[in-house]
Amino acid sequence: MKKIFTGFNLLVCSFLLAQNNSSDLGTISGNFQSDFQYYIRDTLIDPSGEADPDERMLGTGFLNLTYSRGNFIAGIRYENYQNQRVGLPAGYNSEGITYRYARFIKDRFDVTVGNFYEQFGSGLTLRTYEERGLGIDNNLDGIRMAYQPADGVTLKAVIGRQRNYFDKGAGLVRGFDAEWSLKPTLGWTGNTNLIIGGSFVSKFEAANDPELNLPENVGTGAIRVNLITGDFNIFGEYAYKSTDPNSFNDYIFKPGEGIYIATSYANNGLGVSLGFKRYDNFFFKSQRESDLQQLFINYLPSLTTLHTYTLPALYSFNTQGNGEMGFQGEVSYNFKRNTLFGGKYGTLVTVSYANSYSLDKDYKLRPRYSRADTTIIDSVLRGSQGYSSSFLGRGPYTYFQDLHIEFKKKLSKKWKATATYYNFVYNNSTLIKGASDYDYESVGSEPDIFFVNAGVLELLYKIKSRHALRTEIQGLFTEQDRGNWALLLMEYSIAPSWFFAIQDAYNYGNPDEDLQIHYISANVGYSFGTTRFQMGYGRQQQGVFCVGGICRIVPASNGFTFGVTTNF
Amino acid sequence: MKKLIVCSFLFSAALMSCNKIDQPLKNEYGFAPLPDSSSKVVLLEEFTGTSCNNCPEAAEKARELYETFPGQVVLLAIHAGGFSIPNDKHPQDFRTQTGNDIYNFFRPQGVPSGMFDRSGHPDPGAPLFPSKWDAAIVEELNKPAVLALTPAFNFDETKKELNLRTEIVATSNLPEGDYFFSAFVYEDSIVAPQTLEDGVSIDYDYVHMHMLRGSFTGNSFGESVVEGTLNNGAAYAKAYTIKADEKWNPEHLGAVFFLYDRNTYEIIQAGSAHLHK
Repeated sequence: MKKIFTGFNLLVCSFLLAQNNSSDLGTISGNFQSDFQYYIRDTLIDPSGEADPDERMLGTGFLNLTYSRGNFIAGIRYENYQNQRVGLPAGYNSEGITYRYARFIKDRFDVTVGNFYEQFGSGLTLRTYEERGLGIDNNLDGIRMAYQPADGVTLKAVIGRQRNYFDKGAGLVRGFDAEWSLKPTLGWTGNTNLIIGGSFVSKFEAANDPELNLPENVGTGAIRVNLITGDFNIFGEYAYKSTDPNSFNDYIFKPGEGIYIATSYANNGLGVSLGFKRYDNFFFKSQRESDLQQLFINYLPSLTTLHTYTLPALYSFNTQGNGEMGFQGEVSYNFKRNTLFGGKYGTLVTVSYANSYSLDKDYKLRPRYSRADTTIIDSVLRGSQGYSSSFLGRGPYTYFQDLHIEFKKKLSKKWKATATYYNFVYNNSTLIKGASDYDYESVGSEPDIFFVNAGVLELLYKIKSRHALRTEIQGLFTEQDRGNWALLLMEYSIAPSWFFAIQDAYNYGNPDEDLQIHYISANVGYSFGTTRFQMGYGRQQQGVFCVGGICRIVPASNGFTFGVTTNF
Repeated sequence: MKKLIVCSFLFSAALMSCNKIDQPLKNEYGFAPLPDSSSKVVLLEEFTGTSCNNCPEAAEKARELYETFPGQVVLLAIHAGGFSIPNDKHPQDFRTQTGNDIYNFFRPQGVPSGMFDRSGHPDPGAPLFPSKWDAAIVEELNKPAVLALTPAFNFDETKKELNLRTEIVATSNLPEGDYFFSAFVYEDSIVAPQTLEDGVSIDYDYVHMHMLRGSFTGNSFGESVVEGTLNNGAAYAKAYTIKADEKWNPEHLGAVFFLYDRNTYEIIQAGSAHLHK
């Protein structure tokens, strides 16, 4: 790692020396984030002590530094996990420079060497990104080139290996993308544009499986179209993947497919969006065996609403790359002020529906033989053709359904209100426990489905200039899982520096009376300039995180937190 | 120049490829080849739990390996971690101090997972998920057998005591190391509820096998045999007596034992013995 850091220094210094006849030395900018947690033993929510780390206090830190001068940019990111905080994958337990790059842009040519993030289209073939809170960073370390041979035409090529914690994945990723935006090329006037694109991404990973002839090169290709007019936006992408047996699809020898369509219309206060997705055996990772969320090459848009209020977010959707189909429709209308529904200040009403269900799979297992006498013992998925499915055929299992209706309204000069009702159908076996359709069929059972109703009322009261009180009143009601919840949040802010928040989430309907407890947290934050400090105390509930049938419990914890972010 | 760059992009795209596989299986019946070595014995420590829905499949996988490589695989099912905490549907607590210590020391990233001879430690991914077990067992079995472990194992009905004596003989020269010996009690055929693959169904008559019950050495990581080199022919013996818990069924008890290097925690040779086999 020292070599990398020294290399970065040399790179920047040599560039500066080569340019020393100029008075412009460029600029350095950066940002810093650090979070600490002190853990308190809480036998009520963690009787086994699993989430009670020996270290008592754990911390993480991130520093991004970017140097830029003219058409040259270079940067590094230092990360430390000392040690991995409760809930993060065990691989995040080290420190060092995890991201460094140099980039120049000249004559429509854009070159990056080192680490980079990239996305082709909607991400069906390639998307590398960082989601720090979830422990996701699948950046590529290699070379990225982009070139614009004509106005509106962009060609991109990438090659590299992906980050895997503080190491790299075994697979080599190669990708190419072409996009043509017709409006600038053909000189169209008006507000209509048509963008067409195509991409191809392949990975190489050596194979030495004792039983199976695994493909070492796996490729995926996609075409996409995006039509934009004044009011309409229609996007569609189709992707195909060659046979890719891996641990997430039970090593089946079946090609994959992905379709993602998103359309929207907006005019005169009315907004409508419609979307469709169908993912069939379409997880694409650069290593056949890897941890949970590590080493994904592609990204599958979930086409569901990401809820941010605490209680509705307990039942979040988890995209099913091994096979799912779904639809999302949303209509919003802004009733104008001084109308019957709009009142004095207007009212925004949004109705949204999304669902996800299984594909119509017809499994094609292969026989497994006895080593002693070669008689058939049973049938297995591993090494088989997997299954066949009709294109629009609906399978027997509902994974997820979300209907929510939201009203946003300014009540007076001092009051604003948002009221939302939620109705979820939540397949806990698939989405949380990672059970596959085949698991249900082989055991002859049905998945565990939760039926959930929830409501949130958010009130914002402007007390006086710069002083405001925000209140959230939440309720969640279900006869399954952990039963009913109530939540009250009060947040007092003094712009632009201070905020004070206290929250009580009360699981009063837990079927286990001992767990009908209050999860209380309190936080205070202070900002000055571009720096922000935050500290708090809280009790965090237990959850389970599953991907592909392997589950990791994110244990309950209790303790003090302290965080700081700044940039310069 | 422009054409050259465009052609370079297109050429790079053409170079990327994918392989077409006509025959997924390497041979007609899909058998993995047997390893060269015939006397190396590998310990599979399997982290499991009664609430873990993917664990029955992993246990089945472990059983397959046990049967595929007869006499060369020793199994130990360690109930530890969040999925082994008793609850309304799984009231029995199968956790042990030894199991908890091993779980907390090797910190598996998920359950089910397993270690083959504890190889790979201290890599956080050393406890492998079941999809990696096929390759791992072959790799471990292909290592040379450099030790012979010969047990004598019996149960004293009167005193309700288990006696285990193990002869350790080096059959090759072993390099400098800090060699430790560990021995555990396991129990077969325990009938108790187990969550099944779908995450919903519970098999109330599930038969748990090779379940870790306790330690012969009175601790979780054994005791020292020798620090230094082990020459071909060097011999040691370790003997232990422990009280059998009244909940254990002597008909189903067995012993798992092994020698390992404390510097790496990698097991050099393992063995097992059963009271009634």
